[in-house]
Amino acid sequence: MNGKKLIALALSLCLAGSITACGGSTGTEQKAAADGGSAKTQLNVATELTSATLDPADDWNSWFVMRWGALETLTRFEDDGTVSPWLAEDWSVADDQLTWTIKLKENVTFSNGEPMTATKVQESLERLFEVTDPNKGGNGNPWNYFTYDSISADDEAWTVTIVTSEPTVDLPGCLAYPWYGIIDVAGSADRDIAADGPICTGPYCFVSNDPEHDIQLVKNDNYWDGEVPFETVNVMKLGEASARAMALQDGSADMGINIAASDRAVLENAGTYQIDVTGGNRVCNWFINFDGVLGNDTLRKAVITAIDGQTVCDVSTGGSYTYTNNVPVPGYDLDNPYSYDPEAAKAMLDEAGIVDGDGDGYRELDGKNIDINIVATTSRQQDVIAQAYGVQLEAIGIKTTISMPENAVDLRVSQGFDLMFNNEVTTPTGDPENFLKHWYGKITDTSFNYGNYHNEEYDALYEQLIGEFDTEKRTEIFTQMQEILMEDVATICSGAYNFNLCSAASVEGVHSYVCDYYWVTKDITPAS
Amino acid sequence: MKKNRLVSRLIQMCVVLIGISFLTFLLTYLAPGDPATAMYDSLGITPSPEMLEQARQSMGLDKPFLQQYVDWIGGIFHGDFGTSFSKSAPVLDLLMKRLPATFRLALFSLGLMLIVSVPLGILSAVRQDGIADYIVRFLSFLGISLPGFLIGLILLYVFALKLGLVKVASSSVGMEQMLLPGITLAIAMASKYSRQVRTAVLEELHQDYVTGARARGMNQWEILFRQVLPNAMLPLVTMLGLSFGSLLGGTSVVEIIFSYPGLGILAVGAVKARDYPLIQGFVLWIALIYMVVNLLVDISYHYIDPRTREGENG
Amino acid sequence: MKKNTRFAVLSILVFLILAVAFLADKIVPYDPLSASLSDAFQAPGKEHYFGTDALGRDVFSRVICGATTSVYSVLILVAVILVVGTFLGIIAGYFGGAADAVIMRVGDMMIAFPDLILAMAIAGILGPSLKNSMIAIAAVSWTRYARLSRSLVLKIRNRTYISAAEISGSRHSRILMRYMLPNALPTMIITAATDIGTIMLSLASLSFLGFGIQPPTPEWGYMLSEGRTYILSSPWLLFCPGLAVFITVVIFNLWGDCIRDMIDPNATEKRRKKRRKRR
Repeated sequence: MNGKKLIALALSLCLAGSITACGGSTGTEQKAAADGGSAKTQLNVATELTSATLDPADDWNSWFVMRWGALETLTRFEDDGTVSPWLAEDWSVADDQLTWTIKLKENVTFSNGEPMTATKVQESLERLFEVTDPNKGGNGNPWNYFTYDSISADDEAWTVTIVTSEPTVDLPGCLAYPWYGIIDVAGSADRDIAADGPICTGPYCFVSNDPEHDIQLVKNDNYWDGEVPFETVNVMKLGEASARAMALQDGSADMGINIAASDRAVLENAGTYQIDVTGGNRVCNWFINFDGVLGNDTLRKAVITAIDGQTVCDVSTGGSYTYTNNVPVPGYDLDNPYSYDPEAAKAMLDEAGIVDGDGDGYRELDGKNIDINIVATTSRQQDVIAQAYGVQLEAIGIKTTISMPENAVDLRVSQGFDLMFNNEVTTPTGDPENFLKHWYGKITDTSFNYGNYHNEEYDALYEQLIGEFDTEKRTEIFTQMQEILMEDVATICSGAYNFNLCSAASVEGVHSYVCDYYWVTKDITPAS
Repeated sequence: MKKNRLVSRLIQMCVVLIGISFLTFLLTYLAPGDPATAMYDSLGITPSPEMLEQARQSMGLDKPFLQQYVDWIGGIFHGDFGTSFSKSAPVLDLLMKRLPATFRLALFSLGLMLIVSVPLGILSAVRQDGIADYIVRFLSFLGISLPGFLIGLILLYVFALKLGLVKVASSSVGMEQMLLPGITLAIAMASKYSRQVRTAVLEELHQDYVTGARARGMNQWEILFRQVLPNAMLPLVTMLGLSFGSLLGGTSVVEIIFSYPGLGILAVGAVKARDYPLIQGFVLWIALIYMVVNLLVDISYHYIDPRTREGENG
Repeated sequence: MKKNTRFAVLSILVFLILAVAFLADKIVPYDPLSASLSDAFQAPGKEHYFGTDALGRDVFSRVICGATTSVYSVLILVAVILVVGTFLGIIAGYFGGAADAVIMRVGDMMIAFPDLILAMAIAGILGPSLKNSMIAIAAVSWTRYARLSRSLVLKIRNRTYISAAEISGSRHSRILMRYMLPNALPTMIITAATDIGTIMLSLASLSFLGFGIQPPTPEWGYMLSEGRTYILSSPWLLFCPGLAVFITVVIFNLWGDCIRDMIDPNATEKRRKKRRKRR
């Protein structure tokens, strides 16, 4: 009888063992594929971010369809910010500033072998606008960049003609945005695009997408632009920053996306890793709630004067951000009227009577204790920046409270903040118009101007942008707008985020583009 | 277990499940913030007030609370746990997809734990107050006093990076990927169990039948393996059930550190994204499994331990 | 005698921890909140025993001051759980019937929740803060105490002296205070003492996941969470708070065990026998 109990115990142990053993089989197969032979056939990527779906129409999920090397667009951004042809060969706009004619490359094929005809491009763009139609409950995002009266295709001439509803100056830049990536709509009809991914033209095709774990891709045998270097791409989601660096170090990954600044230093010391850091067009800036305590001009100006932005970027974030001198859009060289000077900040406050009257160490405004509520997330080291700001404001006698709630978005909409983090690509289509709309006072959509900032001069400048085609003129308007923002301290700009791609010696050709839509590309090859 | 007792257990289970579902629903209902806003945020959309209004209607948020709850429960009876808005997929599919990995990890770590803790516990008891006993007790103290995430990171650093015994990352989910998370989970549990085994064995060793057997000149090891162990191991079965249940839901920290694709990562993501349908579905699902496992344990306990049967009759 | 020595030594250590937690801001070399941004990531040395963090704050001072937050929050939490759990358990055990059914079924519910997940859900819903993470842990932990105290009450519920007290017209509150509570209390306190370490780790786990205290207040769990990014480059940011948690938990665990051995050397054995008999 006692034996029976032992047997039961032993059995349960065996069960545990056998079940776990079953799980092992898939693992070994894949591993064999990864290590098999001397020639490297699989590209292993370690990433922090993934997308829930693979539908290019599904907002920023589209970025990943492109980032993993499947989706391609008609045009693309170069590192200097110019737009160059990709699937398109050329384009032109008629004198009416509405009719755009896009000439396509004639040798492009989808991964199913279908040629990318003008009709296919038309269908792809029409699908995007249809599924995102805000009148039918769609997200409407592509509609914010441009809307069209008609799209027509000429298969003989390989041209697509888009007639926009309003003059859209940066249409070629818009078309480089991943939403507008070209997919074979008819060819994807029997696929669940969100789960399996669409049929695209890129060097790799999706096999599976498990956003919490891994994404598998295989070589596109019908790739139009040369030989595809790897048979398979294996993207592994590693949420822990240090795990990504370790994966590069132990060879589990050939390429690491977004390695923390502190770990980059470690890799750099090791010597055998290629670290490509690019000051991109993504910034961390803080919305200021003008309906709160920071609506006080002196206080706001003292705050910006008390912050040592340069040190915060270089030291606190370890160089993950490059200080832009408080300029909202990176690339504009403007003077910051409020350079770092904590003593001057104190003097400003003292002069305005914002002093510590009750002796608790913190200043008051109109008899009420100032307590600046900074809302942040841990993403992209915003928590570090928030804390750095906190200690610097503390130094001039201003109390701060940092909170990192899950419902930050509600606080943003309901203005439950004084400083609210923002991390945004300023020039998603090559132009900061959409970004600068955050401070447009006459905006009908009240949930966009989060801080409720109003400046008539600024609004007038913003309205000038509409229909202004001249790039130089636009740049001048953008400059003036930013000067107003900086003068008014309408926002605090921490700096431009330095995006990075790191790679081991096993591969070459990894490049971190200024525009971070392009991660896995055909140019990444096994090391020779 | 008698039939009527089983039935009453099942009824109790249903009551508790309904309570849990109600409580979860209430919690998410009371949560500050608007699920519609959260949904649009997770989709990366800045919604207009009209869009929000529409979304609230289609999500049924404009209905009274009880109505919402009844709708949700009704859906569950038809196998519809709702749709996760952060993952744009049915909640049930998401749970089912993650469950096997977590299930395997839970069993694996339990197995590992038993292999380590049972012999150590026995050794510790047999050599009571000897050096081995002190070493085992010391180790078990270390084990329960270290936070799991710290153990995890250290293991990852030492075994994967420095010693290269396993890969830091891999897209497969096999033995190799379970090894470190399994060990991490097992360390904390083994510390608890080895102490438990030690106490249980000691208790049995002091029983009269052991003295009797010794007096009859029975070999010490024979006494230990034939008489003492089978009795001492019984309480472990109940503990194993409880541990298994909490492992199914409570491995989040370890899953995050080792990028192990289980339920825990899903749950943390759901809470962070305020993905209410997913949180609700997850909690209910886990509670169900937990209770079923414990019921099974109770039933099996009844079969392995004759004393409980006698107790019931008496 | 040996046991007493052990208890004395451990009690001194516990007292030391409490003293450090109490006097933290008086004994630290630096202000744990004041930062000198340019002094970030200095390795441990003479000037900064545990080095400095990303904002140039002194890690040693932060670890010491973290004791205030971590130790006190745990002690308060354990006390709350002990009081609430014991009280509800005694009520359930003594009155039985509906009170018993309601309390124990709610307890069943709480115990069927995976504790960390429920805690996460509560913290996620109420918003991340130290208080809310404590509420979350209390919500999942009280049931064990309630079950235990209920079983202790049931053990003496039908004794003759209780019946005698009831017949002689003693009020319920008097019986509860006079007989039930003293009967349950020693075991309950032992359980609480042995639980301090575990609960400290649970709190740290919640902070680690970002559901607990908000920066810049120094707290060990959050410091660990912040430090883990730097395991390769500045490992002291992870290991110093890790060591603090470890040492504190070890001491509290040993102390709890020691108390149990002193008060009731066979507590666990007896309880198990009782449980088996009831079945």
